[in-house]
Amino acid sequence: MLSETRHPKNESRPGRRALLAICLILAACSSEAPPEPEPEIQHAGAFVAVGDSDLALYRTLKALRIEGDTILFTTLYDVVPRSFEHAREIARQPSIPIRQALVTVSKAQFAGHRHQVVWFRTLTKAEEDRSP
Amino acid sequence: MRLPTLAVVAALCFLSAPSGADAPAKPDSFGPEIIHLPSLERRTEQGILRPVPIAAELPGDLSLRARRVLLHYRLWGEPDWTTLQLRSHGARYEGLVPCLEVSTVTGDLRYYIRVHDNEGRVIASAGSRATPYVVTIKNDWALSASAQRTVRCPDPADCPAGLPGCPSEKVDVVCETDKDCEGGLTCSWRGVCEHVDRRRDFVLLAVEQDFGLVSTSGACTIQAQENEGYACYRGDGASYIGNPAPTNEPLGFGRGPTRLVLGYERLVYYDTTVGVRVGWAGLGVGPTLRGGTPFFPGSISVRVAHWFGSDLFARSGLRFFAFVTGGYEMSDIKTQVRVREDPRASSRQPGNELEQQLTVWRRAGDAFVGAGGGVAFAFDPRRLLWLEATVLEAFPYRAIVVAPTLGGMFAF
Repeated sequence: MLSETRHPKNESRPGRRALLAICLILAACSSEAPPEPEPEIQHAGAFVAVGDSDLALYRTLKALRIEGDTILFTTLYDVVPRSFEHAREIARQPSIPIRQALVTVSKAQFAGHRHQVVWFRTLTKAEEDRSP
Repeated sequence: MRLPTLAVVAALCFLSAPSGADAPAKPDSFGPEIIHLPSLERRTEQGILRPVPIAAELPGDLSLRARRVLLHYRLWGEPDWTTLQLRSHGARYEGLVPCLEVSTVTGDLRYYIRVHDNEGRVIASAGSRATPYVVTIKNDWALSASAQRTVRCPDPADCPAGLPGCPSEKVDVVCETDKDCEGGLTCSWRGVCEHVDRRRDFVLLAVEQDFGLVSTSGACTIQAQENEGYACYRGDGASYIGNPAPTNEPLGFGRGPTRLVLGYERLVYYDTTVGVRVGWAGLGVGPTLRGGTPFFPGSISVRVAHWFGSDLFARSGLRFFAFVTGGYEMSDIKTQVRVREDPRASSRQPGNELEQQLTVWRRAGDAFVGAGGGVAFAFDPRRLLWLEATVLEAFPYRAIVVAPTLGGMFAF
């Protein structure tokens, strides 16, 4: 009875009800996926481009949290990306020349420069073995 | 058994059962009898252009069961027998071989009578095609002096079909089985005798190509690959066992197996067939993961089809049909899916890119239900070439499978 008095117009507007039904159906069909997880610097396998003018491309092999900072064991590649997008293109290549197989840096060092995680790929056994 | 032709001369004819309807009646046969009363003035003679009256009187029990009494006659020189329904006057049934059909052709008019019950069964007969009654049609000058010369036919232009003395309307001979029909006729589903080259049994040979629509969201998780019939492979051919992040992916469309199909179709009504088909998948079979259910290439299905049109199987030409089907088959659907690796999870497999395209095989089945339609071309009632498309739902490992099929049907 209450609903009839509150929504009397709905009874005379089948088009509106149909629209509502369609909206409900569409809402039911589109499931909400959680946001896609983005790789971060400390994720093993992340490619990080760092630099204020010239960029360097690092890859995280392992991360250790020590006294409020995070120590990163990385590989430094022998490439000079022109931009983050270029760095991403390089990172997606299966084979990248290595300048230094193991470089230890702190996350705070990266944070002091312009940087971006440009890509991610799970480590191979050989890559994992580079880190202590 | 010659017919006496003097007026109201009764010929006693013993009736036979339906199975013996074609055989001439014999006096020692069991069963009811009818009195056959030709109302002609002279025995075995009749003048040209004059109707031949025929009457039959049924015994009490038989008259109660009789629904139709049919006169079958054939004029001299005519290749076909004509059927005429006698009119009922209680237990007495009367009719005329129309004078315009008697015409001016002299010779023997042959006829016999059959009695049908409500269901079309022949419950009695007098004479048969093999041993009919005979009335000789003669010119007036050849008739004996005592022959009765009745009035001749009216002008044909003033003589509509069905009126006494005019050309008769042909009637359908009701029947229940082919045994109730004569002269090569068969009993149709409508319960009448007819002469149609309609084939009822067909074998078929076809090639079927499956295409599938499958859900790909979450298809490459370990859970889905172990329990839901999916198998995912990377571009380098390695089986994917990474950590896919949950994402919304569109339905994947891909090719399924190619099958060779053999079948049998039975025409059960003018526009309805039922059939059974067996198939064998030769191409397009996907790999089986270790411990997974192996692919069984065999399939079997049953179907009911409706053919649009009137009595299509009696003729050649184009025809359309729709059907429902169900059965057993496995379908490996091959498609692609985008997978995003979850960087937060511990790596289970090296070399998985943040995003990559994987090849997904979905082993759908093992049961299915579906419907479809198609078009067929009959070169003649015995040979058809057809193309159809089936849309089916496979379960419990779900997929929507579309299966275009090209084949031929051959009557036997």
